[in-house]
Amino acid sequence: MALIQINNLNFTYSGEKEKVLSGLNLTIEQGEFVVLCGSSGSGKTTLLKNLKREISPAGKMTGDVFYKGIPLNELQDEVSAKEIGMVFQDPDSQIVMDTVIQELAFSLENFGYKPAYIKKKISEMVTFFGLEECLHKSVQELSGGQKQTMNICSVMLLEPRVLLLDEPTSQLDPVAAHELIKMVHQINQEFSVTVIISEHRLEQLFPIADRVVFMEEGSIKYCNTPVELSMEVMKAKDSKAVPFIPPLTRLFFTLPTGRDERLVSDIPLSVRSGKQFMQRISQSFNECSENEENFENSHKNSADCGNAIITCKDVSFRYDREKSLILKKLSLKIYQGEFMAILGGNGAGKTTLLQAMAGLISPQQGCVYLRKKRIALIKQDEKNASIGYVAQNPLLHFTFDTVNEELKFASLYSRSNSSNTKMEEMLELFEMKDLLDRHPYDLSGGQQQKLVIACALIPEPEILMIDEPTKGLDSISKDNLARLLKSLKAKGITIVMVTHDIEFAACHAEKCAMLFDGSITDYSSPSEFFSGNYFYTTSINRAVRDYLPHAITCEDVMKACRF
Amino acid sequence: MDRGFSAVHPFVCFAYYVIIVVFAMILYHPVYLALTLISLIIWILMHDGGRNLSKSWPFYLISGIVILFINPLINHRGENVIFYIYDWPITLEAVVYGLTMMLSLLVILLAFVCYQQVVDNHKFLYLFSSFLPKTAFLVMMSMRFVPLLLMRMKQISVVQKTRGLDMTDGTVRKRVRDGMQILQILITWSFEGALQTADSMKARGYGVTKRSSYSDYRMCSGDWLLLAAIIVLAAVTAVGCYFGYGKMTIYPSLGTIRTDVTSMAFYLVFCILLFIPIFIEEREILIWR
Repeated sequence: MALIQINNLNFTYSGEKEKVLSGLNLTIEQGEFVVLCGSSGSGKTTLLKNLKREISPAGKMTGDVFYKGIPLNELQDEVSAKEIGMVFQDPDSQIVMDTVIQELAFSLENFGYKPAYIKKKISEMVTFFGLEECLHKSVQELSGGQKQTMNICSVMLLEPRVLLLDEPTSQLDPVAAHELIKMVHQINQEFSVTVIISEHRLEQLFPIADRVVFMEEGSIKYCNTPVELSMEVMKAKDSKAVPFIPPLTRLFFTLPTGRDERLVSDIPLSVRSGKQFMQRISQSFNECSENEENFENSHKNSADCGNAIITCKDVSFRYDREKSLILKKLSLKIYQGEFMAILGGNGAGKTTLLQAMAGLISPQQGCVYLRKKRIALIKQDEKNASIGYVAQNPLLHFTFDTVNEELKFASLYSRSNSSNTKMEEMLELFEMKDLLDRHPYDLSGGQQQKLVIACALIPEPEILMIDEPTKGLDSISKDNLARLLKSLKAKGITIVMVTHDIEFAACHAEKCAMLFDGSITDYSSPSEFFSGNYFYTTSINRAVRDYLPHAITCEDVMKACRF
Repeated sequence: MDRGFSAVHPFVCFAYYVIIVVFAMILYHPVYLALTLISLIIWILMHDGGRNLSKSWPFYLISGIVILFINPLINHRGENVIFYIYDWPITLEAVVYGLTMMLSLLVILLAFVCYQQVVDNHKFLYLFSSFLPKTAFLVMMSMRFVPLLLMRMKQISVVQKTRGLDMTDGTVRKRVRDGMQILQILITWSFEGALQTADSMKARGYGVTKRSSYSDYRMCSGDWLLLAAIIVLAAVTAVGCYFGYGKMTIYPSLGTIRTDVTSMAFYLVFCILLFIPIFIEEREILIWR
């Protein structure tokens, strides 16, 4: 008997007309590791919430969901709450208590367990999750990754049979996300807990998933093992699904080898299998060496310098006298018209640097110059007109009830008199005409971000500063964002982006800088930048670096080889 | 981390400071109060080197001095006049009364300072969670939200500068208006988050059965012993107080501080009670030397 059986599930949110889930059928066996993917708005979260009775959303549901053969709504309260565990997207808002140990005890307390039992359970689980060190810390002191680990631990204390995870890594940096997924895999392996995880970052999930479910418009389009699914998608050239396939796997199919039926068993999912695969086809690379040189030259030429538009000179910053320095005598120049990506781990001070460059916080030592003028001496209004700043969390920007009002407010800072036409232009460019009367909070993550960028662009700034723009975006929205940023750049806007999305920076930025320990340690074009790194580089580069050390994207490999 | 007296079971600490505050109010006697004050100051200095008082001591000092001076200036009862200010007699009794009042007030204030260091919010909530479980749970949840909201507020204020909303700049009217706007963003955002918090609570079975309450604290034999000692010592002092050893006549004419054997014995008992936290702290220091 299947653990979870979904028969012809339809769901419509109350007050809406369109179905979010339509005619969905899915069977999940005990101990399976299932990955849900698809663009945002495809119904992943709604599906997960419908599998967890306590939080099933308000609306009209038809069809059946069976858990161990029993309809979900006939399950006992206790069984349902205990055996089906759920972890959410935002690490912060799902925390209830103040300290780690209280938060962990919270779920056990809900079931009325005796303190001695609670202590015993916590002590064993905490060791498994490696949380001993922070047991008595306030949750506020934890990093995002630790918070999410704690959230999973708190659910695992109830010994669930099924673990539902709704984009658990979308707010984390790559290293923390990596750790978390490893943890989830381990839970699946060691306790045989069935895992259903919805995710945008699939690179790491493809090698460990038993099954991948690709959703589109509320129904399942593909459902297969990762290898089979990649093959199906790539063969069908489904433009909506291709961006979700991890780059290495995509590379395999783009190379002529992809058309070779015999090689199907070699489809690389991880860097290791990618490297083995490269070794096998390495003969075809022998002729590439000369191309490699050309390739290098072409990249060097593109790095010509114009006028520095933003100059940071020996900038030092700390939030508090007692706290350590976040930026240490940092110097950096950003030239007119370039697309610059600043990379760095979590807590490296990327956001702080961006805010300092935008003149939102003033460094204790050193100066930031906008052209030749000290930014601290420029009036806030003028700064706002020449620098568009987009924060990591779009919600920080919204003050009004409709999209229209947000845009109108933004045009207050417009220098030109034609702010109305400018607004029209933005609506056109961002395809937001239908959304004018919506509340900003009701938009999807990608739309919210577009709105903030649109607001930032209405005053026609020279520079767009954008913080972690790909956080929580699916592959298709990322491609859209990239296209948008490129079109802005074509209009002569300088773009400074802070990110930890290596793949995105590698594919789209013109220059990359690494922020480490408060200062810029590396500063060059993406190909030089990433090829010099061993771990902090794209998966493609890690797989092909023995043959094509400078290739960092799928396109680079294709360009470098004459197939 | 908990060490010294703070490592003792919170109930014992709570009881101890309640007793100290009660005695500060009923033992209206300069010697008793002075002893209490000295012991509290010693404990504070031992516990964290006085860091906790480093900023607030002028406040305590000033409020003490104010009381010390105000009483003799407005109260002219008493037989022994020291001198006159504009025909107003300043009496010895009023000065001593002011001094006693000052001591009493300082003892109560400092006892709270000590109490806060020993029994932090978590321990306090633990003490109350057994008979007010719902309230204690609610307070604990709110405690999580205070730092969270402050953090969000900071983020919003920085980002909203780009839209001209700034609470640190402009006329008062503008500042207030901007502040309200920022607060509005904070509230909208936090409501959105609170929905998720509610989901996360329900998902983990909140409300399925009657909740139990987990805590780290366990009364060990040492704690019981200490509690017994505190009760006995406090009881002896209370008996002394009942027979008039804890009071000094001030009005209409100043009595004397008694130095007979029984009084000395009561002082000693009270001293032992006062120095319990110091003994414990000292033992801790000796262990780690």
